[in-house]
Amino acid sequence: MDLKLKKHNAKIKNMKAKKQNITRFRSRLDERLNYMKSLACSMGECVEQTISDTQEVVFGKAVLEQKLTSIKKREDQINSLQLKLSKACFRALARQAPVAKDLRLILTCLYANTDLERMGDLAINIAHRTKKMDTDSSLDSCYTTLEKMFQSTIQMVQLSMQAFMKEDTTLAKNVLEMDDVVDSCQTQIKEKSKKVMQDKPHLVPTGVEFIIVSNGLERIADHSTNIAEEIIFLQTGYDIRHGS
Amino acid sequence: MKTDTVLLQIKNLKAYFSSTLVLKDISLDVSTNKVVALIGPSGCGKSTFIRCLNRMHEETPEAHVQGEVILNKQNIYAPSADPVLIRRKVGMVFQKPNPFPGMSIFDNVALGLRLLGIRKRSVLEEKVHSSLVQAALWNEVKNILKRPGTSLSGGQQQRLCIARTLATTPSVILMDEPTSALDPVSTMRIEELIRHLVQTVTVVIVTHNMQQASRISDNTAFLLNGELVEYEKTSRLFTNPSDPRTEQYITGRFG
Repeated sequence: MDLKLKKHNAKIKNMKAKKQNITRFRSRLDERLNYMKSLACSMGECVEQTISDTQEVVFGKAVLEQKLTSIKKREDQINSLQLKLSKACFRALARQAPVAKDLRLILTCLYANTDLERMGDLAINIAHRTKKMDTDSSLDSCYTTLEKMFQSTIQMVQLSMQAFMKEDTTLAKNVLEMDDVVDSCQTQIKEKSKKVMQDKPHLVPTGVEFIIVSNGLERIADHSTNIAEEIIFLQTGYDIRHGS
Repeated sequence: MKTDTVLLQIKNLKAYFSSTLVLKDISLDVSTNKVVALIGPSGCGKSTFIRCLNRMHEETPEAHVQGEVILNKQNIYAPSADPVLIRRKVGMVFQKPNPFPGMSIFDNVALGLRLLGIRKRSVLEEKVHSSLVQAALWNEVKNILKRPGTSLSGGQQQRLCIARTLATTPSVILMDEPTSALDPVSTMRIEELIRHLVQTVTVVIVTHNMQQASRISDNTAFLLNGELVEYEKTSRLFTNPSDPRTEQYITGRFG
C-alpha cells in the first residue's frame, strides 16, 4: 500500500479512537455531574420538608415530639447527603480536571452543599425553640406575619432548587427578589414583638422567641439567595455576590 | 499600572499548502515575557501557525503565507528579511527531542554559536554554561559535557534542545508539543522551566494538554479549522470562555 495512504489511514484510526475516548470521558463526567445535582436536590427536598415540619410545630398543627423524631431523621439524611456530595465534588475535581461550566457546576454544588446543610440546621433550631412560645391575642399579627414568612421562605427554597435543576437564571433572579418579602416580614415581626413586650412584660420570653425564629427564617432565606447567586455564577461565570 | 509591551504582532495571517487555505486570516498580539498557549483539535492549524512565526512554513514545498508577522516592529515576511536571522531570534523546540546525533552535549549547545562564527573557547564555554543553567540542565550534565547528547534521558534531551535554542539568545521560543513524548515528572520540569524562561523570553507553545495550557500560559488561543475562535487570558478562557465552541472543546464535547 502507498505509504501516504497508510499514514492517512493510521491518522483517521487514531482520530476515531481519540473521539471514542473523549465520548467515554464526557459520559463519565456527565454521569458524575448529574449525580451531584441529584444529591443537592435531595438535600433541598429534605430542607424544604424540615422547614414545613417546623412550621407545623410552630403553629401547633403537629405534636412536637413526633415531629422532632422525623426532623432528627431528616437532619441525619441531610448530613449524610452533605458528605456524599462533598466526596463526589472532591473526586470529580481530582480525577476529571473540569474546566469552564463543568468546573463552575462543581463549585456551585460545593457552595450549595454548605448552604443547604446550614439551612437544615437553622430549621431544626427553630423547631426546638417553639416549646417556649405562648399564644395570646396580642401575638396574632406576629403569628400571621410569621406564617407568611414561613411560606415565602419555603417558596424561596423550592424555587432556588428548581433554578438549580434547570440551571435557570430567571428563576434564580425571582428568588433574589423574594428575599425582600422575607426581610420585610422580619422587620415587621421585630417591631410588633417589641411592642408586645413593652405592653405585656409576661410575654417577653415569647417576644424574644419570635425575634429569634424570624432571624432564623431570614438566615434560611439568605442561604436560598446564596444558592440563587451561585446559579447565576454557574450560568454566566459572573460572581454577583456583594454587588460585584 | 504596568502595561504589556507587544513583541509579536500577527496581522491577517493566511497560510496555504498549495492552494489549500489552512490558516484563515489570523490576527493576534503576543506580549513580551508571556507564555501563549495554542489549543485546538488535531489538524486545526496550530503547528502551521507557529511554523509561520519563524518562516519554517515556507520550507515545505508549495507552502506559502500571506499577511504580516511583526517582530520588534519589523515584518519577518518583508522581502529584505533574512529567514536565517529570524530563526535565531525566534527559536523552536519540537515534539520529539532531537539532539544532533554524534555530537556531544557541549557541541549540541555550541553549534548555533559556531555557525554564527564564534570560535573563542572561553566565549563558547561561558555561553554553553549559561544556556544549560537557564535550561535547568547544568547540574545534571556539568561532568559529562563530552558525552553524546543522545545518551541523555528524554526529558534531559528536551531540556538540551531548549538550551541549544537559548544559546543564540532568541526573543521568542516556539514550542510544538514539547512534552507530549515525556513522562509526568519530566513534563513538570519542562513546565517549570517554561515559567522560569518567561522572565527573559516570550514563549508560544502548542499543546494538546488542556491542563498544561491552563497551568503554564498567560494567554490562550483556541484554533478551529484554521480559524482563531478565541484569544483570551488563560484564567478567563478556562473558567468562562466567550465562544460556545471553545466551551465545547475544552470540556471535551468534541475534539
